[in-house]
Amino acid sequence: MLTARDAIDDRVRGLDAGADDYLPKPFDFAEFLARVRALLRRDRVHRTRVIRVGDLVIDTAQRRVTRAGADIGLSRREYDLLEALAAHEGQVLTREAIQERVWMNAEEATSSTVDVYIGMLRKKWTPAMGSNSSKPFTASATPCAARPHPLWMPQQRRRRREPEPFSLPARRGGGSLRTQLIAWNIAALAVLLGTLGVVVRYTVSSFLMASVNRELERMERLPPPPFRDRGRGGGPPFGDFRGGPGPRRFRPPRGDETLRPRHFDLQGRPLNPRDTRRPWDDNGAAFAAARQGREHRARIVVDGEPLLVLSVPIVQRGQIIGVGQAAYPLTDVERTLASLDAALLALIPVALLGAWAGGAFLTERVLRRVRHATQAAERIGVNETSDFAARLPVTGNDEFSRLAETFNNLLGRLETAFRQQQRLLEQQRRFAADASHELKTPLTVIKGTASMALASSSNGDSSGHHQRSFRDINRAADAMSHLVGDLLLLARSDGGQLGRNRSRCPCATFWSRPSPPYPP
Amino acid sequence: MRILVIEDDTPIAAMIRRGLEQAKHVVDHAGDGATGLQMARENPYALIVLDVMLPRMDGWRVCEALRAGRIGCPF
Repeated sequence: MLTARDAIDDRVRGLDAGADDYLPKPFDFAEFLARVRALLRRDRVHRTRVIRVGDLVIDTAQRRVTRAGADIGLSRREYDLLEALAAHEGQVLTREAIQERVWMNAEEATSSTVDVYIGMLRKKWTPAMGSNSSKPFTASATPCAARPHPLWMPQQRRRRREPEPFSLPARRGGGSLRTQLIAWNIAALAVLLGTLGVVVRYTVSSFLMASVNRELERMERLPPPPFRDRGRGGGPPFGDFRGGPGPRRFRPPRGDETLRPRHFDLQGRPLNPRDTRRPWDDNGAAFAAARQGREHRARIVVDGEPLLVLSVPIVQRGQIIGVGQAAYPLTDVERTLASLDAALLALIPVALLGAWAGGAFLTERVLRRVRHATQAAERIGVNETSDFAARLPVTGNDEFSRLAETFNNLLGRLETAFRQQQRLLEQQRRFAADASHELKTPLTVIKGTASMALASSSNGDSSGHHQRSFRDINRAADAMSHLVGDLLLLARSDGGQLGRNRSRCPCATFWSRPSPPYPP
Repeated sequence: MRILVIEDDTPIAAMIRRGLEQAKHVVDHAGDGATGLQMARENPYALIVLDVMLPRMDGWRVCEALRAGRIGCPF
């Protein structure tokens, strides 16, 4: 078969269609004649014998292959390949050996060509033998390990050379947006709850202690019970007692009489001789403060019970004569604060747990749409299976929907540009193929005619044949010149270098131009 | 040997014909696929030289028709 199509696929198609040889244009005429001779010679030689390998019968005269009586239709090249393999039963043939035996021209047949034919032979072999047949032409990792039907494993080698399919970049673990959102949510809520707990704890504590202090001050403002001034006769005691009269009578909490206010002189003796109680001791700090005219508050523990003791100086006629003490039990206050602390410590983790669950739920709802958009984008992809007609789902009227609409608009423009690019590429390919085809025809003539002229010159025949050859070469060169000129004109037109000039003209002008000026 | 050349490109066909005749072969020429197929069915050729891009019937179809018709000559 002679053709301007020289791609591997075209060669395979031609050979698979049954052609025995395939020669792309332009070809060397000497090579063409050599191939003709080889085909004719091989056809004569191969009509002489029958090769049998097990139940495989190769009739070289008829070029017919059967196995177990089943006919296997093979192309010329497939037959040559199978015959070469069968003729070397039990041996391992290298690619080069197969190229030499089957193709003879090693430059034309590459290793991939051999692989292609082995694959085609295997395809035809398997249906003919059914599912019970052993796989033919199996490979051996080492050339010396021969199998009943020797060869290598071309498919496996081809598979290793295949490019890796397109894939998206691997996702980095542990860094998903969902995890980050939940972590940020929990961290922010933990800080908020911690701050709120501290504020609540401080506020409640301040409120309770303020209440206690107000109660203590109220107790201290109550006038003490009447008693005789020790050593100085009667008279109203504590005539200028600090704070003045209180609004109501103090009743100690829990009805404990021991917590009633106490009054002592600066030496710690009760001002009321009938009062046998002793001052609440805080290592003399209360009396020291009273001597300086200052109030003093201290937390002391009496019989295991915490008390807040307020000590105020007793001033009479401008002189500090003693110390008045009032106490309030802190048991309930501290128990309340402890309960509050426990509640806060228990509630904060529970709140954080709830925040985690809520955050996970909300982020899942939000990110579900992002995930759908991502899956749609992955379906669209950027590889050879890209579906530019696909679009992201648009639901509602929120930010995601607007983002999806924007992305869809972008995809629409991308699809349009892609289609245009595809059309342009197809046009370019077609143009290049057409131009190549048109150029190869005169080139073939030039090469073939020149080689024939050389051959005839070496044979001594150089009279009339040379004239015909040179005339053909000249015409082919003229045709190439016309083609090249037309191509340059088209290139200039595509480049916008030609001004547009509309005018009426007969179409025959354009039909006739590309045709080579050969006589019919 | 009698050889059939199926080629629509006249200068190439002429060149092939001239070269094969110099090699002492008898050459027949067909300018399109259908004519070439008919000639191949009617005459015993030792070899067929076939172009791919042919009018009326392209080379692929001619090739398949030749094999389907069990025309055993190489081409």
